[in-house]
Amino acid sequence: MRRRQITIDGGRYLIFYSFEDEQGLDAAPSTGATATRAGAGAAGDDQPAREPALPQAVEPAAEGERRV
Amino acid sequence: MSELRWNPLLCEWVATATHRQDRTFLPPADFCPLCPTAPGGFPTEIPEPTYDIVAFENRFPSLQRNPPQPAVEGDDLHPVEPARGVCEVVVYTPNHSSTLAREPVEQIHKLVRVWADRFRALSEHDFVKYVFIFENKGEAIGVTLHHPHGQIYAYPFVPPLVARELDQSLAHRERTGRCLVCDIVEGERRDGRRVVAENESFVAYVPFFARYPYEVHVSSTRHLQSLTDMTGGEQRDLASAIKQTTAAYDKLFDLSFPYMMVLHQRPSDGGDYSHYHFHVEFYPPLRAATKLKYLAGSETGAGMFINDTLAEEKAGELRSRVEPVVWAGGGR
Repeated sequence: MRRRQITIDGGRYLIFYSFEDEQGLDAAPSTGATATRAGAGAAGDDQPAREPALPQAVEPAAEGERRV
Repeated sequence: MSELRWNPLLCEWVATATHRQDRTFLPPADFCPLCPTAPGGFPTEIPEPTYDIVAFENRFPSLQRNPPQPAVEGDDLHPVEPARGVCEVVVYTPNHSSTLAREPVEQIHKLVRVWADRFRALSEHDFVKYVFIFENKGEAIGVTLHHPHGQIYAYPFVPPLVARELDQSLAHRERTGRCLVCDIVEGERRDGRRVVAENESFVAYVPFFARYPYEVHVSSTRHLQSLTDMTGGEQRDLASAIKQTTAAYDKLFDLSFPYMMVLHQRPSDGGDYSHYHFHVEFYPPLRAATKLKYLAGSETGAGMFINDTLAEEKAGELRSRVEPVVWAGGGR
């Protein structure tokens, strides 16, 4: 899971979450009731899920953006 | 104007947020502020032509990171505080006409991971004491935007309903040495009549004490306190349980079923809440396809819910609509 943070009007943040680096994440067949699976279980299905604490780049909003 | 006003009768805070009166209300689909911004098109809240899942600060927040000073002065009886906190919107998909129930389970799994990330990030604010993740779905609930989305309120206090659950959970543990929700889940699984769906890590059931006709709780079978305590497998199983529950709702009356979905987790104030137990609660407002369950005098004025149905029967109706969850490529 990756995050990309930008600033939108009013100084609010908006975070895009993307998962394209994990193609096939959910495509792995189950290997059993308690066995480790691929995908989200790549870190071990029986281990606490940990997402990498990636730095969050801040990009300015495009000039003249109008919001609803 | 925005502030927190103390209700000494009920011992709880009320947020005033007069700017929310002007928020966007049921715009036409081609002016949806949660859709991607098409090249040359109407600029929405999300300034890119596509996305997977996004979270952003609400344009019309009830609570703000840097709130204005209260517009009124408080006193000993009526304390007033700035409405400090964070209100986020989480957009589940760029597909305007979708719903959580219609999304593939893989997308719900992504959402669970985003929720965990937002819980972790918002909990780091020193002024945040509780992170509340929820979804209001359907006009019957009062949604103002149809695009599939949920919300997160990061409160500067533990909200009263969760505080009551915390108190009861602690009292139960002190009395029995056990977890209250663990005991409830064990009882529901043993009885079976109110179980709607079950997988390795979660049980969905209409609780014995359901207040709404089709109320469903989704509780983890393992004793854990928050999304961030879950293993990767448990996050997948939570996605499966949410998919099965919401899809069963839709099949029940062959309509996109309205509901409130709330996640009850431990507070984020650094305290020890090992006695608490993560769960999701669904409160649908329908008691039949065309009949609303109104929160009327008894419910609103006295806090006593009257449920016109039997939990055992409603659970059976939902259970008969549950379908297996199919993950792309297999697996649970």
